[in-house]
Amino acid sequence: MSTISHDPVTFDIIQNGLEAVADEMFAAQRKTSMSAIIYEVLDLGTGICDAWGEIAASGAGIPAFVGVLDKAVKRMIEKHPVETIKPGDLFASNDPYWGGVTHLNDMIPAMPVFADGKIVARTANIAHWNDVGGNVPGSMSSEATEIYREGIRIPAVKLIDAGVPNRAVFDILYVNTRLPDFLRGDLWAGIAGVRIGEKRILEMIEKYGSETFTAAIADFMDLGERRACAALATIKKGVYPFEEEQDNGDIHKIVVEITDDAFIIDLRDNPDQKGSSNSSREGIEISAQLAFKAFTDTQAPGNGGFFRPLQLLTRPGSVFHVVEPGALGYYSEVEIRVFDLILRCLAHHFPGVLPAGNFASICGTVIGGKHPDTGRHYTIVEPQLGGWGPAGSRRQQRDLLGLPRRHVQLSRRGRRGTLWSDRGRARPQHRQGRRRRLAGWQGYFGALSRAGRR
Amino acid sequence: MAICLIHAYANPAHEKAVQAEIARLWPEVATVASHQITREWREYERTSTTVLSAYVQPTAQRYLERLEAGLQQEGYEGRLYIMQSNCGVDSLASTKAIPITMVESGPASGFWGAAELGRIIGEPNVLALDIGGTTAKCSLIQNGRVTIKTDYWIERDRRSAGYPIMVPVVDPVEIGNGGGSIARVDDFSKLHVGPQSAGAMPGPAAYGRGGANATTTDANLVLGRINRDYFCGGSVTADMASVDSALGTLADKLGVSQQEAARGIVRIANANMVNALKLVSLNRGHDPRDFTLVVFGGGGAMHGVALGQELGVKKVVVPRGAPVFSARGMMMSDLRHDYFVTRLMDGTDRSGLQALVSEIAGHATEQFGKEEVAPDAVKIQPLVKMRYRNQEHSVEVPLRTDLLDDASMAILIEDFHAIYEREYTYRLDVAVEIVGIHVIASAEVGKLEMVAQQRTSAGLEDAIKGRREVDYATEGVCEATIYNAELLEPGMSFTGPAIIEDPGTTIVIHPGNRVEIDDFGNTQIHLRS
Repeated sequence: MSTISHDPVTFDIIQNGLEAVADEMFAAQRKTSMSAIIYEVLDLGTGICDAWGEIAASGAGIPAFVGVLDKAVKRMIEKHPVETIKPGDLFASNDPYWGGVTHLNDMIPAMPVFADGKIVARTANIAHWNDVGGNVPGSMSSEATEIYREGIRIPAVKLIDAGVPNRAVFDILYVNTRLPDFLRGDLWAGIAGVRIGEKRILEMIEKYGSETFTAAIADFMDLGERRACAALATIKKGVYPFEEEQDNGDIHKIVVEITDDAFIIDLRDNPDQKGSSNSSREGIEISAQLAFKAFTDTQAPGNGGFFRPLQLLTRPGSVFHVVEPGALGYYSEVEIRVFDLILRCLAHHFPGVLPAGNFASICGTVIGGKHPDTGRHYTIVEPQLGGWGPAGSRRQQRDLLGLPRRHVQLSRRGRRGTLWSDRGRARPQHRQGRRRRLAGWQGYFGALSRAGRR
Repeated sequence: MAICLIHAYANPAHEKAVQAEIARLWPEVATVASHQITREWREYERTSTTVLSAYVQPTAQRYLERLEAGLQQEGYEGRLYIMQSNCGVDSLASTKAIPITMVESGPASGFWGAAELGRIIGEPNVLALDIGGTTAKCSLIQNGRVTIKTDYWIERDRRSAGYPIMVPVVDPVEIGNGGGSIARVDDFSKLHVGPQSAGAMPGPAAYGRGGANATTTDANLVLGRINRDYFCGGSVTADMASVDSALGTLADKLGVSQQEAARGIVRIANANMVNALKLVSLNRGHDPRDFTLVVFGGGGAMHGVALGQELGVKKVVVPRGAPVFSARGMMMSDLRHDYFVTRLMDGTDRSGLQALVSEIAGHATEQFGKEEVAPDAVKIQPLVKMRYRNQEHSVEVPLRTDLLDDASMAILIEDFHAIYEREYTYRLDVAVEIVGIHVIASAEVGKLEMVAQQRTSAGLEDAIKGRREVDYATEGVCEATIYNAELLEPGMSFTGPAIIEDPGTTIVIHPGNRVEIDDFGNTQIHLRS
């Protein structure tokens, strides 16, 4: 029952349908994952890209993760030309130098969706894996200076060829981890997620036809751009510089320039890369996208069209644009700080618009070792929680970065590793606000835990 | 006051001690402890549930006590049961202690009614859809069984985290679309329907009570799907001037005709509802072609056929008395308790599982005993919650036998793999774990049975009210035959395009549908004639 109709209602139905598909991908992956960091902390993201890799439906999960998907898919397209791809192919990357964006722990499976012999969309997801080998349990080493010490690299390779798994890659993955069972389960959960997305999109295309389907995506992108431009039109134009000292004594500098049709973030004048607290350029682009959206229009669709007016300038070799073989284990701290830096710059020049700063860290906790009961290796990786910046008014409360917001529930810890929690509590902590007008109130939710057998 | 300790799911001794101490120090205050509500792990959900229960308890208790006293005063001599969210009823005393169990009792009674209806008409696989004024709710019934879960959240959507309620709730998917849903055009020329609703006051523009917004009901009037001369069973004069003005504003913003705007509203409302129906069916690995769509509530019959066609279900059934079907479902329910217990063990632990099932079954029988139900009248259905080792979410696998041996354990594991694969597309060759059990205990307490309707010598033509042009939104404008629902009798059959008008609802029959009135007066619509 295929009809060619380009009426706006059909477009709406397809666009809403795509979001529902991305949500279903999230639900399927979450439910089948093995690791608490995925199913409980929800350290994952799903999305649907158009044929060229622009994000079309931003799905569910951590916004900072959803932002990875289009960049990963575009890199896969560069490496694997369209004419070499078949239905049922599935690609994967975890390598920031090959579209992986973040660090080696985050694996991105992605697959094309074919209609009438052409690629019309791509489904993708990303989730954090607890261990991909490397120097230390959990794979993220604060001492690493090169990516080679951070685990196995999967450089945008074909994992499944026309539906047939490439056993070699799976075998290589399974032996390069301290947690093979978990890795296997989390990998297949990711694959199940993108496959369900493909299946649902094919059903939509069967109903509406591929021509209407692709036209609906293009229309959705244009809507995103229209909304971004409409928001830009209301913002005072100008050049806004800002700088601030970091905890390690470095000075981070930023210049935001807002013109009639562009929002330019210049981060070129910043320190050289060092250690493992560096980010890829694409990672910083995500921070820029999130800050841009938080500042302009939080209700708009977060698609490729919306981000068209955004421009980012970085310097290769800097902490915000790491070059090979720099390490990226703790990229997240850099991304979060840049996000905060952009908002702080804007808050400084646009008082009363943005909320106060947040705790601006993952507070990642990594504990690993041999389980005394089972003898198997375990790794606990979990973020801790902190306070979100308060807002002076309802309007100021924005959907911001969306870090992982949940921690592993205490009643379940004893089952996992050897960590047992007796209690948790919220600890209010006043800190002088660094943003004008608003004092930052930073709560901290601490779990008092003790190691060892109960 | 709500009490929740981290590990009380495993051992409630400390919670009980805290509760006793509070009672000693502050006897006037009502307390509720998490172990009274659930024995599952996850302290966040458990705490949220306990707090919400304590929050509604004083109000609920006052209400229930007034209800009981009022009924006694009026001379009611029967037993009073309260509908629960798990599709069963419970005693007044239990409900007063933990009132949060009533949270979804309304939709639950409708879904249970749909399951019972399916049993009577020989359709054990049912998609139940209840469309009211503000929301539409749906649930899937497989092999006559409703799905009861404990991961229910209220006020949760894409922009709000909501609050978990960890009590047994029939698995519903709810969306903000109903007859009163407001259609609006945003600054970027996008048409939206719901979740804002015109409610009962002012209601749709057609009510003529000052509603200036076009709603789904108004669109249905403009398209001739609802009879403007028989609005709300003739009890309300449709204010078409007000409808024209509301829809006209909307159409101008979109740059289309009123007719076109009305079609858009109906199509978007349908698409929203189809997405919800897919969530409970396709998205969980079920094929809609195996299911019968049962639609009820005031708006169910209006959209049912379009939704059924979109999903590709077997047929659509509009039960007799569809607008008040939930009330009927309530009268068909059993006394029922759902027990969820977390206890981790290996998938091969036969004796451990046997002990757990016996313990909970014994506990259930004892609890029913307190409500004066004999042990042999209690039906026990154990479901085992299983998963691959190290996984989080478990799936429920029905235990096929009472007594476990090695063979039945092997069947249990194989059933797990099959159910898991249906839902998640793959299976793994790794160890299987048991996380706990879900035991359904029920007993019949005298229920309303559906009875066959009388046939008279009246013919189908007696039921015909006339003909009029109806815009089906997807299939265009057709001249439809209009039937009076009150004059339709078992055995009558006809084909669409048609409209069946009932004082409480309108059944829209699309072109090519074949309609049969069954023995019980339900309207059965076959989508492909």
